[in-house]
Amino acid sequence: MSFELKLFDSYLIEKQAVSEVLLCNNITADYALVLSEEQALELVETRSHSLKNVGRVEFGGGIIEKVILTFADSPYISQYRYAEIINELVEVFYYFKNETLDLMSDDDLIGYMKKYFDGVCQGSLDQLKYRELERMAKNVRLGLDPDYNDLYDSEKLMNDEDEDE
Amino acid sequence: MNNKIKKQSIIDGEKLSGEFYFQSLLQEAYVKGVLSPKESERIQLECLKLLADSTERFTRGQSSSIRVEIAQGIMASNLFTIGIYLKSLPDLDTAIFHIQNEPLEKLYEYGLAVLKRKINVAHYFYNRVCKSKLKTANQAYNITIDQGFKPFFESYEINFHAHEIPSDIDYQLIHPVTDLAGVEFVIKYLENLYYENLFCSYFDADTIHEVMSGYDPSYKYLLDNICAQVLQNALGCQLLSAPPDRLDFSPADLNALDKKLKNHSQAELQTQLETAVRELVTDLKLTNRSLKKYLLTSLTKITPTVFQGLTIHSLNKVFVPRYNPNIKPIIHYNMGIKMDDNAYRDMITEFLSCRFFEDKLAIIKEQIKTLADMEDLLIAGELESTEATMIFGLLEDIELAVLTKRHPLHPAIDAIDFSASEIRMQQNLDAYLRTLPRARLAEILSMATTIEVV
Repeated sequence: MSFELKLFDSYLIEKQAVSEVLLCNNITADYALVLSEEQALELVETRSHSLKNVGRVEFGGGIIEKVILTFADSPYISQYRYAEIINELVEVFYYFKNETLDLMSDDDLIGYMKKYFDGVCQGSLDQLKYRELERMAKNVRLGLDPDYNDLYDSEKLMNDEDEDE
Repeated sequence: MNNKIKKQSIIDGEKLSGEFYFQSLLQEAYVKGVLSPKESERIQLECLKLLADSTERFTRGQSSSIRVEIAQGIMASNLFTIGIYLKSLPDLDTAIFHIQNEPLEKLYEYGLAVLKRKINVAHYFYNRVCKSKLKTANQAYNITIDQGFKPFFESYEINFHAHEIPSDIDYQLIHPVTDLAGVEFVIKYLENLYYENLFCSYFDADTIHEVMSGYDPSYKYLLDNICAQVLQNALGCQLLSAPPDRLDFSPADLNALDKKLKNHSQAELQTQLETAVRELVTDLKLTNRSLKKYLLTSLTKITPTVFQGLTIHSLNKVFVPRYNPNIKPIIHYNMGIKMDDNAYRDMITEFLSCRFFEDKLAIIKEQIKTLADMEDLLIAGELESTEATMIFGLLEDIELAVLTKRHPLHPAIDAIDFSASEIRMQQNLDAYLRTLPRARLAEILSMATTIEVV
């Protein structure tokens, strides 16, 4: 006999999560970013969907608030695509939580996501997902520094060769 | 009188799982109406809360989510720990009372305390097992005791993996431990092993070695139980009214046993063996009551074996005569000196280039002078089975016996240990031996057991 891990998909829990997300509006409003109740609900659903997709479970406060508050001051997010970007970022977060074999804490992962999103990716979610975070996850799995980039090494090598010539 | 008055409970304790005790208790209690739906819901919510707390400790607060399989493992560990505590309570009603009136978190804490105590019990039994360890060549037995439990005592983790058994246990007991997990499994296994050791300690280690060698000369590689065979032999001696520590049977003894037991049904046989166990306990002056119980319950396994042995007339496989593998063989055979490497190379090149078997035969007759060279040629000669048969036909029985001893065919093992040409040679030899008349084959095989190749 096995006791299957059962998640309570309770309406009350969802409602509470939505209200917590909406509370973030008080802070993000300073950056002209606001989520409607409908968008907050969608975010909560995205989280549940992503967790199920990547085979994870979450207890207590989710990471939606952390993502919202960390990315609020990004120069590449405007109200126009705000909800869409946060949705994608939440999905990306859970995916790379698995890809980094849980070796990275939530705060560190969100920190790196923000750093690359605002930095080399210049607000491109595709570059963030398919290039920077993939490379970072690979580095973490190989026990290297998350920021290590062999591309820079080869560029440096090419520069050195140019100088030699 | 041993009958105790037992308090009746609505829940049937027999239906509960030993491994998933808490879960099965909840299920039974819910089905029997002891737990209301509301209480059941509360328990499930508390289970989730407990899981959330454990998860936070597991991730050290650094991650709000974990992979489902890890969560399932932690959940199983938590439920196992609670189950351990509930099992330690006097009866099922008390367990249900605790479930209904105590928060699950408390039960979990009590469970952790019980687990810690149980680890000490496991240590105690392990020390007893080590002290009573039998001197035997059986590798599974030695490795299980010497190394098998190290991972458990070094890395058993009660907070998140209490239900796991981090150990390498290969040795099989008379009573295999089932329906238990974690430290409970280890305790039960060690306890059973201790009783088996204790029983074997009443017999001489060399005698046991001879009994097991009689069972199978290569018993040291087998995963078979030693105590079961010793007990069987001791019971056989007891039935013959011979001293039980002799553990040996002559063909006449086996005939006598066959006569004595053959017309009994399995139930009658069981009764007879039970009497023999009781007599054995008295004769050996066994004082440990648990050991006595252990031996008596072993009969459920031994009786069918004896019954089967009687039915198929193979009692010598049940009550095995002792065999001393250290007795020196009677025949010493010298395989002769191998020819010079260069000469051998030239010979084998010529042999392989021959088109007709007659030419090969001529080379053999002309150049092969010793069995050592013949053996090399049989391996390297890439002979077809018909050719090999004809060459084997040239050999005498003693030479075939030497080759049989040196190249026995065990397909499952040899496929890894030997080269393809060696396996081919073994197969050819085996095929040739099968074509021989029974009497000649028996003579060759008996020669093979008493021969020593120099």
